[in-house]
Amino acid sequence: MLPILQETGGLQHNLTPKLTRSGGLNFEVMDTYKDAVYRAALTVTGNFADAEDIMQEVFLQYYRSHPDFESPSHEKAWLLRCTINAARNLLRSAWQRKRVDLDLTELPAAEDADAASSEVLAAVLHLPERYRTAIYLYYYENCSVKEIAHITGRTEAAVGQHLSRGRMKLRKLLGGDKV
Amino acid sequence: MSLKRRIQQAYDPIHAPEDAIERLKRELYQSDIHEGEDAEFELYDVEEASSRPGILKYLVYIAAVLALCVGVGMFWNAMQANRNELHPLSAVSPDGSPVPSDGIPTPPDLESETVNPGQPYIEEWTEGTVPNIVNYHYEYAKKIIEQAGYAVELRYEQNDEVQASSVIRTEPAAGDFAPEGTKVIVYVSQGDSAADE
Repeated sequence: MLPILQETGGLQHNLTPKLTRSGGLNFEVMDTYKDAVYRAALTVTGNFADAEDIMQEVFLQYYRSHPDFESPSHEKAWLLRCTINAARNLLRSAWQRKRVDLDLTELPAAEDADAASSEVLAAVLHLPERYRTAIYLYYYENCSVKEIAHITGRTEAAVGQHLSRGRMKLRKLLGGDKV
Repeated sequence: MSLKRRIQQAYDPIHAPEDAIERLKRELYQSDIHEGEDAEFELYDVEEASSRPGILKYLVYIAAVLALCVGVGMFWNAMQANRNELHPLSAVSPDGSPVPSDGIPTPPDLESETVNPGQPYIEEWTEGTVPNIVNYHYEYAKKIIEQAGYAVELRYEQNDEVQASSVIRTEPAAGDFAPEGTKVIVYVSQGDSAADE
């Protein structure tokens, strides 16, 4: 089983219908993937408000376009791909380029986790976008290099390079810890 | 501790804000989305993200179609102008109908109809030379000569080979070079003198 499938829980065997039997919307997909989409958006944008906007945009797109998937892994990959591309579009906008960098004191990790975790998250978000996206998908979403290449639209060689350089930069940012 | 474990510990406390999720669910309920209703959303494909905005793409399509129409119109006008310029005497036959390319047009019957004021037809003509109007009806031939830029003088003589009212020959002869304004003497047949007797 692909690593990405291990995260899908109850969706491993049956694809989630977009509508319930009564015709209402089925929000199981949103409840299952909301955190993954939000974290991916936060990783790319480095901003909580933007991540929230991206998450809403992606789920609106999901429920309005009714895409069909062969498997849950495709469904999650589609959501991550949409999220990352929408976040990249936001980063490319002229308004976004004029914004200041993320205030790392706003990170929620500082409230619920220890200082070390917060430091790691801050270091990841300080990486260039292509590096931190690859690092997030590889280490947190357990995606393979091939899956990351599909989601991000880059070649596997480029993804491998981004992972390698991202690890080197993380090592420097975390003060020479062995990573 | 491995990097993977540290990253997982860093990301685990991050959750999607519940109030945003609830707002989104309410919005989806109110928007009344149903199965099969395709939205006008653009998929955020990688190629799409790097391409031009949608409105600009449609403007480019419209401009291309307009440019094509203008091009076709200009080409058509150029073809018409070129045709008139190269063949000033080859537009239509005296009666306005298409003229067969393999024969001399039938002269008009002077008793029943007049020569059409439209441009006379002649198959081959090089500018600066006297047109070949032998065997043409003299009125028709006269128009051709005048349109070619020459003055016309008609002279009549009897001829048993050429039909009456048709041109026997010209001076200068057909195909000879002659400056514009030159008087071309057109000899018109009066028919067979023996038949008259």
